Amino acid sequence: MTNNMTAVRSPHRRIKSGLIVRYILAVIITIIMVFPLFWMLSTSLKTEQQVMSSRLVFWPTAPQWVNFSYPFQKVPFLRYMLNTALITIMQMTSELLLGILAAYGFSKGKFHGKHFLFIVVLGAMMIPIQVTFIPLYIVIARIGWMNTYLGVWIAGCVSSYTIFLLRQSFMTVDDSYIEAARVDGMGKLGSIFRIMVPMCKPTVITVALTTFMGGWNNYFWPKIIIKVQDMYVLTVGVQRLKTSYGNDATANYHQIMAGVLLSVIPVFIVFAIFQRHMLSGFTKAAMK
Amino acid sequence: MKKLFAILLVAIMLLTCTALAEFDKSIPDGTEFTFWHSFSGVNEEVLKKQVEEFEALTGYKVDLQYIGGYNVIHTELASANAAGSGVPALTVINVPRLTSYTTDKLVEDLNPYIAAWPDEINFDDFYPGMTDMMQNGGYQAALPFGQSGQIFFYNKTLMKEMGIEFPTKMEDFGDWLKKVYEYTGKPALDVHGTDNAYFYCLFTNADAFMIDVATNTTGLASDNALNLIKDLRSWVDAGYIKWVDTDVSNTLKMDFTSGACAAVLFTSSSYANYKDVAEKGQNGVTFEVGIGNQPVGISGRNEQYVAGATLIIPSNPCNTQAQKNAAFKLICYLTAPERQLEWVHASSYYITRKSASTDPQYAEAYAAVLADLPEMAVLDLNVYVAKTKHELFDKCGDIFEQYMSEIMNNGMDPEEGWETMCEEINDTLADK
Amino acid sequence: MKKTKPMVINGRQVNIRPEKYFWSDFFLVLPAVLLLLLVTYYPVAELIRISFTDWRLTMTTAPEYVGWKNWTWLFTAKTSLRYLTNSLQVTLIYTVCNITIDLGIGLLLAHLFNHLTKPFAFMRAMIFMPRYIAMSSCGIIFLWMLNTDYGVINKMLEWVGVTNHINWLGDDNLAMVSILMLTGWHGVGYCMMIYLSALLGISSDYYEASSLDGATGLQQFRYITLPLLSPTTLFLFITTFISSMKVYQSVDVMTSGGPRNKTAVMVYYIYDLAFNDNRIDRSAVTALLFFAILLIVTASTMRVTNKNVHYEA
Repeated sequence: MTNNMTAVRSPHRRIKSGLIVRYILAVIITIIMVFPLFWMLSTSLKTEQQVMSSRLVFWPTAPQWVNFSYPFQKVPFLRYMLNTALITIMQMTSELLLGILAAYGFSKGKFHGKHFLFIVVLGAMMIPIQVTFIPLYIVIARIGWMNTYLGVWIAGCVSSYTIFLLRQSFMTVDDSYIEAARVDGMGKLGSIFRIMVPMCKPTVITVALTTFMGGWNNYFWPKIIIKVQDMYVLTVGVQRLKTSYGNDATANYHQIMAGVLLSVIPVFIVFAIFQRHMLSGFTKAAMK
Repeated sequence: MKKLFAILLVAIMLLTCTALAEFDKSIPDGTEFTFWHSFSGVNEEVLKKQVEEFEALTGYKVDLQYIGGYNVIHTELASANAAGSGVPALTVINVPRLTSYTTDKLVEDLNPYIAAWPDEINFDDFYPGMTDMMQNGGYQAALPFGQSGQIFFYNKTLMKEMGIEFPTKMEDFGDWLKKVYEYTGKPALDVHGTDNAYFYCLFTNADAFMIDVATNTTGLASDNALNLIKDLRSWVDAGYIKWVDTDVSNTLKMDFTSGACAAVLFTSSSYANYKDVAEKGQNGVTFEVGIGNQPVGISGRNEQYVAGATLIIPSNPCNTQAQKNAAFKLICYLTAPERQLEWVHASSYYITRKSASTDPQYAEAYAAVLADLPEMAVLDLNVYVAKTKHELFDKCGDIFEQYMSEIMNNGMDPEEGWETMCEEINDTLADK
Repeated sequence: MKKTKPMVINGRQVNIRPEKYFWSDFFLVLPAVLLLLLVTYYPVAELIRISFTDWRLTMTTAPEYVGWKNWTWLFTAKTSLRYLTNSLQVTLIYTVCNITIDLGIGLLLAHLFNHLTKPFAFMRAMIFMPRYIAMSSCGIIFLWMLNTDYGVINKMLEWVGVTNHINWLGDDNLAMVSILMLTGWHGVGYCMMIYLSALLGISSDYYEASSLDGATGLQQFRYITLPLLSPTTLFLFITTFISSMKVYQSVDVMTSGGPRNKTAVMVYYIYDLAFNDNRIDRSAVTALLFFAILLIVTASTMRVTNKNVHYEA
């Protein structure tokens, strides 16, 4: 009897203590991972004395909301936000539109050279902007697209990765749906946007989110193309919040952090709303 | 032949005359232009104030933009120029960039402007060493604005306490370093190790120049240079000198103002800031800041080189002549003795005008400067001379400072390092 | 119109109007393909052309063809060799470390967080979140945390007795460590999520069967989990490899290539040649070399690992 009892209880207890250890470890790791973001928030609410003090202030007792006005005074911050938003929207629109059309063509279309053209698309994945930026930059400069939205947009106007992901997803839709749509008199575009896109909604959302993040967080290319302060995007603009060069240490991290925080708020919002889609979408990508 | 020569001469004269005659001086009211700068903190405030005064005075509109350090400005300027848009009508740039800008005609030749507004600019009033550095083959690429040099700051209070003077000759330098080190137990000197401009003076005053233009090879390949490198290394090894090559300006300031070293080799423009911190004892020690010129080397000279911020007008046609003219008017305004005397309090840049210290009308303002920054009187602007003008100077300088850093801080053998360095500089020079 | 017909003679329909199919479908892919040709393939061709000219960014005259001069410079000039070997070395160190951190810690975290309850889902999301914040913003945050005098990390180290403030970004070795901390923090959540979904995809039958055979947890990990995760590992390896080789943002924001070029990665060097030295021509040859390395390593990894990867039936 006793023998039997321990046989039942001991694995149970082991599982339970294992779970506690797992919880503790997980919480510690989560705290470490969230800490930089917490520190950004906490710093952005401090005074300069608290930032430059030898004592560690974890959370200011009197939050300095006034810090958040600094980015707007020092640089045209609102303009940066507008620029970033516009460029992101342009890139999302063209990447998705071109991507969906091409994905349909590559998955359901019938034409000569389809396979070859698809390899062309896949091959472009292997050519990063870090290799092509010099000629691209020269072309943009020649046609007068420096310091314009178009100049930033063009490098990210179409993505082979998007086409690839959407094509994989469209492939899973059975041909009979398209046949049925055509029977009902629906045109090609109609069947793409009324049948394919709704049926592959999760992938389309994932791709849209990836595009949004890519546009919002883009740094390398805008840094090259935008030379006029009024046209900066946020990622480049926040770098200009530092007050110092030369002799002095940057002493305004509370204000810089306020700027950084403002620049990432849209990302937090999008992440909070679409978090589930982001996680599932990436998993699919890996499972191709 | 004579005839041809005469015709040519006449043609050239005519061309110059028409060029001068055709120079369009007009600036419509309300002309707007962009001005890029690299100043922050108090310097930026003074600059802003002066630009606003200029706007009020002239009715022109200046878009004053802080871009970043000189390297950032250079990168932005070069690519904006290649694009043909977004180029400012006026920008601050550091001296070493000017040579290649002139070769590439990236900047306006300022001579016609100087000829058009002779009284406003009063060109001859600038220290000739400064303006000379900014011209190449008669092409005046820039005008001096926030000039600085390579000098020593030392702890004057400590020197008095020890009863010694800051050395004025290189031969006394080792002794001085040793004395201070033995007295304080800390490094006597922090050297700025990531910009060759600072320690380069020690080499040229020992007759070792970066580029020998006649042979197109490096003059650093001399025994003098090698001996100096060996001396420096032995001082670093002994702990007399700290060769600072990371987070340099912060480290220098911290070390000096907290008493962790007795002297630093750095830019003269740190004076006001160092003095302020040291006299208030913000970093724990209160002391008086002294300034030492470069020590006289075995060449018998104690030169330092024209450095710091200059003003250029980019030649790019995306700015109209009127905008460029307005920009030049701002140059006239900012470089005038009155503004320079005001600017020096905040920036401790060298005053670029001779008249500032000689003309009685500025006597009061000048006395105020000396009252505020007494060691300015120690500075010797007669030894402030032009560096070798060569397109590859900067590139060679990079190599120089990288090898020096390896030798001083990373244990590279001095002789071996010096040899490879000279080979690499020669290789770079031959590449042109 | 004729609504009933196609169902019956489906195959014939296709044969009747092949031309129309061809054009309409072809035009669907055309804009994307043309733009890709324009913004990715054409620049590569142009890059090759530039590599044979003497193009400087600030020059006002037209560039001339100079033959193999830039290529000889790339492989023989002393300065070039010194910088090139340095940047290759730095990039390689970064790539190896970053892959190890992201994949290794990612896999460990995936095991730890493989628990399907609400709190764990929340914590997973928190760990995954940094990936969506711009690297340039994260760089500033880390720059501040790693600040020598006032940074929170040095201050916390004081508590455990490290009173000498560590110069994270100024030290030859620690600068790279700092960048790896930043990019590891940024990327590890992604690897965790991908591994996690792969773990969930492994049928529990395998574990039950092996448990009956008396396999320990570690043995199960070694002989079941790892092999079954190999397609995922390959996927992560290649994507992380490419993104590590391209690293630029974090370096640009944190160290600007310093100290003593110890973090001057390939892309940083290429950028520097183009926009600081204004040598478009030399930047082009270096970029081409970089591209070749990327292609060769990726292709050979795919070839080698394809043989050793276990795909679940």
